[in-house]
Amino acid sequence: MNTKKILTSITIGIIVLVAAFVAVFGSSLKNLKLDTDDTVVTTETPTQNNTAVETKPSAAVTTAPETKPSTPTQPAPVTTGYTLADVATHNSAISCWSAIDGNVYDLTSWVNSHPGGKAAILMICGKDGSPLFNSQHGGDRKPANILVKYKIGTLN
Amino acid sequence: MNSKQYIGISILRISLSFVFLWFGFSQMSDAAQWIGFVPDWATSIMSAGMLVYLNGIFEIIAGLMLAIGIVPRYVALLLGIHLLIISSSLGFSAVGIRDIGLALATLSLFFLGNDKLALSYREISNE
Repeated sequence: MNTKKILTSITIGIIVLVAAFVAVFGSSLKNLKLDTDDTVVTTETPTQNNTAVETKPSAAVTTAPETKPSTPTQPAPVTTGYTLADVATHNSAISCWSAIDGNVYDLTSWVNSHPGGKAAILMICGKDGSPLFNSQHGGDRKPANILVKYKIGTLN
Repeated sequence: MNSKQYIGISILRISLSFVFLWFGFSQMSDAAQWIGFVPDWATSIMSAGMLVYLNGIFEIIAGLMLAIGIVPRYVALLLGIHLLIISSSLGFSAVGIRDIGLALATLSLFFLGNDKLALSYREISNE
């Protein structure tokens, strides 16, 4: 086995590795940068600067949820309530909110991850998804545990 | 096997390695998004979050071995079986069907043999 061949194989491997890494973490870093910019505009005093995750503002805190891009990696903490009219403005795969059993969830990042296909999630974007969710997953612990991670507030 | 066929195997191997590396990094990046894919029977072994992390590490290591071409046939066999198990738990959903296709494509690498760009390729005895 000659050196050139070894180097070629390893180079290909490293290129693929880096490409996959950038494909995953590149968008996360971009979102992080955008959210950090939002923090400057919408919050008076940054609270925790120890980690990047802690500096991410919530969709609720920005008070402009209709313009807030979805943050697929970090669901927003629950801080406020929304009306069905608020939810109705997020009715697409680009921004998908749904009201389920009195709570509001930002399901944008879950659309493409749902094991049952994205069509099922898109059906409840912008509306009260309680009937469909409960008919499919009512009483199931796991879907409920996943759902809670996407909670952004309560339904007023 | 002619050179064009070797190129075909190289493309298949490298592109599939990208897929597994992407899956692996994505699971490490945000395990919560993948917890829904963990089958119920697996959660009796350990927590779903930990399974996702371990699965991510496994897919990154195996994906890198596939990309470099370190015993790619056997790595492909392992990854193919691994993905078949996962996809079988998803059923005939859009994601499940896609994963079955990827799993079978990965398994095909085991039967196709090594390509010339793989580190483990031997000129005389091609595994």
